[in-house]
Amino acid sequence: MGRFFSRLVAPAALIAATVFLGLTGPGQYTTLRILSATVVALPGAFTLGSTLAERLGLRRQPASRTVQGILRSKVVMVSRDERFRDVDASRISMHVWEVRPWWLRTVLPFAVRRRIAEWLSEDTVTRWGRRLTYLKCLAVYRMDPQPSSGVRFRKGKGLVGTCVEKNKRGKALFVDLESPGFQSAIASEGSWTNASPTITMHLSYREARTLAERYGQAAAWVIQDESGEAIGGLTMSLPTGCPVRIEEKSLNDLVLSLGETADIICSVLTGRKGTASLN
Amino acid sequence: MVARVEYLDETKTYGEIIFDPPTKDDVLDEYERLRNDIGLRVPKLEKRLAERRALGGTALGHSQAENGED
Repeated sequence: MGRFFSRLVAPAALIAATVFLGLTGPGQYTTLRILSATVVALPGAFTLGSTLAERLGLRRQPASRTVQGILRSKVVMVSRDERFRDVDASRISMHVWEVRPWWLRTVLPFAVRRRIAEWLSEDTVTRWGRRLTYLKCLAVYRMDPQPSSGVRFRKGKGLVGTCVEKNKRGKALFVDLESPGFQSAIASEGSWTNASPTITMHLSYREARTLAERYGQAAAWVIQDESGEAIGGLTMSLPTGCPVRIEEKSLNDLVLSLGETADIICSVLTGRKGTASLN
Repeated sequence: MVARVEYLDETKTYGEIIFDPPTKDDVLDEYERLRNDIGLRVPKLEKRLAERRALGGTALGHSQAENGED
């Protein structure tokens, strides 16, 4: 119902309202009025058009399906890996997060935003980057599916949000949710409030507890397009009690392989819609 | 190659694994693996793969050539 409202009803209402105001406003400044109404209606038109195309089957294959196939392949690869033989493979999960709204990239390309950012302070850029965008889970794969944690990530929030905000290709961020530092921080709401932002990563106490109940360790890779913009993140989560540590030297090849996977997912996401596929 | 691991806090809760970003060849190798494994087709990467093949085959082909193998 929420999706139906946000993807169909809300954009249609936005377009109807702006068209009405654009046509029935005061007699003066007609061009300016119509122009501003068009600018306001544009995001709604994009969302509505994309939803209708999806519903009418005009898109050949949603990117999410292709990406999920890639994640499935990687999870299966990890589960067959001898180094993970003592890990419950059905609880290993991988997620791909996409920076939304996608129309922001179309309306204001990264090169333009970068130029604007040069005029602003770093704090302002970070603040507005966090306010204007959010991360949407595009695809997830876990052999034993589980419902969503309900945690909403943004730039700078959580492991994936921090990874996307740092936007460093060639750097995988990892977290050990079972470390003494993290465990003592989530021991109580008070200790969480007093913990350093490096530990909390701007998650609320409840969100941190939810994640710690599900995962023991996690790692994130940025998905960066050719212009250098972070368009998303790839994460791998290991279950609690996992004897393998992501940062171990013996797992270097897996870290590299997932870095390559992030680049392939980037090609899927930035290619013409529906052209990447699984046969 | 992974260069190093840097911990971002003293309790070793968070950290960064710093590695050389994958080259185009690395990405194509991984793509080729996924292509054979799950039938992945990405037009942009198909084009690059075709170009690489035209230039002398896969990364494996290069090493074979370097070793004087056919």
